[in-house]
Amino acid sequence: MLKKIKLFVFIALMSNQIFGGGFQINEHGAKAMSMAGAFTALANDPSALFFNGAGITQLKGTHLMFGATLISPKASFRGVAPEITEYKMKDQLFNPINLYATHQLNDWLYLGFAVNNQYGLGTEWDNNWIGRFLAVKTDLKTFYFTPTMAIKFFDNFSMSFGLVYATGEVTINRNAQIVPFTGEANVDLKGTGHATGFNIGALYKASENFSLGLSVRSENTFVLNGSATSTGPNAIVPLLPKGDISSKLTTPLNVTFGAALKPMCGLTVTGDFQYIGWSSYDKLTVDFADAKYEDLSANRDYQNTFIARLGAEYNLFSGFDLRGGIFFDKNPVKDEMVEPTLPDANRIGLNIGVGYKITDNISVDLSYLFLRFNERTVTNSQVSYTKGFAPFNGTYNSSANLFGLDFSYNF
Amino acid sequence: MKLVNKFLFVSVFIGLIFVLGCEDRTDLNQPQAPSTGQVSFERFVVLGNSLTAGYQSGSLYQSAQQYSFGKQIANLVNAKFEQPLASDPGLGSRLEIASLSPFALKVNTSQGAPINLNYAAPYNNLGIPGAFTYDILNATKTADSYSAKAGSPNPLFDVILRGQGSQFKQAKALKPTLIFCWIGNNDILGHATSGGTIPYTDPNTFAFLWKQLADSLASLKTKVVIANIPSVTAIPFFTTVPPVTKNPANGQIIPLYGQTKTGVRALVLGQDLVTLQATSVLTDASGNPTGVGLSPSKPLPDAVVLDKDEAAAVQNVIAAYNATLSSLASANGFALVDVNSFFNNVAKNGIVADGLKFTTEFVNGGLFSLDGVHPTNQGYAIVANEFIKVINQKWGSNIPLINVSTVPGSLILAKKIDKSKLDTPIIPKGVLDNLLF
Repeated sequence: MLKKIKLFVFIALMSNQIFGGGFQINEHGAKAMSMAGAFTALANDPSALFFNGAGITQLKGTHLMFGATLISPKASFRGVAPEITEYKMKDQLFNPINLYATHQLNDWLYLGFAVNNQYGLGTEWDNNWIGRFLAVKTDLKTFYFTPTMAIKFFDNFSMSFGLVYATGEVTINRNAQIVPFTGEANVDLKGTGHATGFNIGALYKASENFSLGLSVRSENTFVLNGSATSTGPNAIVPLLPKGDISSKLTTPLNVTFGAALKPMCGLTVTGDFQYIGWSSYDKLTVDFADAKYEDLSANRDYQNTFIARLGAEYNLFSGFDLRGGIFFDKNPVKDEMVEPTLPDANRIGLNIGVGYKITDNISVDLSYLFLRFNERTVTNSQVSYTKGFAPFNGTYNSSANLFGLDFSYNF
Repeated sequence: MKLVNKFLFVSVFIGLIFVLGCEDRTDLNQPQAPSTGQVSFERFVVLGNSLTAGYQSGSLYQSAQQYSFGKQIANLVNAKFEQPLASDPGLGSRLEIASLSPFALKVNTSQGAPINLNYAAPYNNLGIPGAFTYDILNATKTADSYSAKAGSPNPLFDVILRGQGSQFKQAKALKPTLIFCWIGNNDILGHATSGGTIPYTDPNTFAFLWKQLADSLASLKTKVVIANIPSVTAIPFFTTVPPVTKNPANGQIIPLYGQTKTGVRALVLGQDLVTLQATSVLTDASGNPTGVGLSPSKPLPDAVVLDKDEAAAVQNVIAAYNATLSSLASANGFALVDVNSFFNNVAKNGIVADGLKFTTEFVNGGLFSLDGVHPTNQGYAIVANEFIKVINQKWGSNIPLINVSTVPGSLILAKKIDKSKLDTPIIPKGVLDNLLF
């Protein structure tokens, strides 16, 4: 007789890309952002604490900077192939903040402290949509606290060392099939945790008009603990996964090399090449404390990738700078692994912005970034939108608008 | 830089953003309807019984009818397919799961109502739960159906036929381009599920009736797909309750006693079959053992035991039926879906469909609905795929198979939870009495 009813519950997080390129935020200062983030060799405002800590040796006295970036992403999925029904991601607004303080201690030693959200964002889809067994709501928030020390070894060479303490919060919500029973369950996984890391920066001013920068941001391994809750038809609920869960997530190593050139009076041109070691993220696992529930493990198989950036700043008139830039961001997700928790694709970013010095010690920076994702059509998906095998083939289109605003004060 | 150049720089940049910022999405093409080769689904009709009607868990109800195998095929090829829908919980006694652990069923005592009784043309799905082979050509209403002659009139004939003539007559009126006719299961199934107490249709009578039916179908000069009769003894209705039990005193496995053709005797595991009906004899409403079956003086009644002789007879009858169907198919050029062989293999090995493993185990196996006889939505999808394979092969069409993993589940979970503690199925008395096959 029926000793035990086994459920066909589809909670396998077999395809969860919580940390994709789309969850890395590189916009942590309006000035840098308006120059396409090509700021490693310039690093001449307090946001240098993120881009290249060595840059704070250019800031005399004490500097404070604070601001935020508004991010409004849009995404759609058309499929599942051969169908072309369009599903739109719900609109959400994200507002990573940035807060920087630097202080010159003496001729050669500078200190700084930064707070920002280096990884984050989320996606939310309708809870009736066709991909609901893959993703309904996925959310990631991190806070990075980075005390930094920078030393001016020579007039033209500085280095920095920063320690990172970060907190993270992850939510994964999706529906689960309970075939052969009618209805669906909803599984909600929440976890919080923290990570540590470090960063190193170097700035070399080869001449008055030419400088080079190098910035290294280490991997951060978040040890996440939390709980799973499930809802569904009453009769099924006792069988659904719940209780304590734990997971580990490792953010990638970032190594950025930059150059800045002043080819003519008032004009600065910058270029950055940022290497991102996404292969750190090869696997996602979730362990259930209760042995009754099967632990989850899924290959992510992210690829190492890069972002190439080109920026420019032109001093239109005294105290007023015009900025612009363009970057190419190669996504780390293979075609067959793309899925709707992160509809990622190669991107082109177009940036503009202005900086205005209101008084000698107060300035404001504004920037706008339009992020265009390449249309991405997946035909060989290994991601199934059911418990069985039903490839989630289709076409993704995404874009994002970002606005940045920062105030700086120095004394 | 001159002022002009400055503005040029700015305007080019802003211009670039607007150019790239607009929605430059590629148009995608609507999927083409799959190639149906020489076969047209324009006027597609299905004749038969509960299996073609999309009956599940003891009831004919809309949310299951949407996954009748005919409807699932029609959806694949964008064909019109009108069905005699009944609102949930449908016409019949729908079984629902009161509790999973312990596993307990209950009947939804509400009744649904027909939704589209006034549909102007005959339905495309004319399958009537409970229909016998005789009924396809001859039954025009409940009163003259085969089961009415046997003393148990079935109101669904009136609901589906609506006084417009027999299943065949209505199919003919639709000038069908394609007909599925899957009938004959009930001619033996009722005999088997009643533990051999209700007579079956004699194979010669079956051959006579089916010859008439085949001639009639052939006279339509259209494409016809028929299917043969699956072995009934491998369905959960016969495999869920074993003919043995645990001795409540010492936990030892002991045989159950049952009334067989050859008198009362200890039943043998692997030979004699006990029907799902026996659960309500073995245990009372709260799941406690009644003592029935534990001694020769209180044997399981004949009606819940299909003993090894009866089971063998059933197999022989089915083999004879299928020989008839096979020869009629080749004589008339009908496509034949060999459901019997397919299901024998599933019963033996299970089946993996689109990454999901299915077996014939009750509930867990995922193939059979709560009545232990009729498929689930997934089960019907798997049946549909067998029909599609035969059509593709016979008429050079290229219809894709249904991805079974995309089909939603259909076993109804009742909201109320039963608190009793047994790990045996608790099936209240009478729950399975009104099944139509």
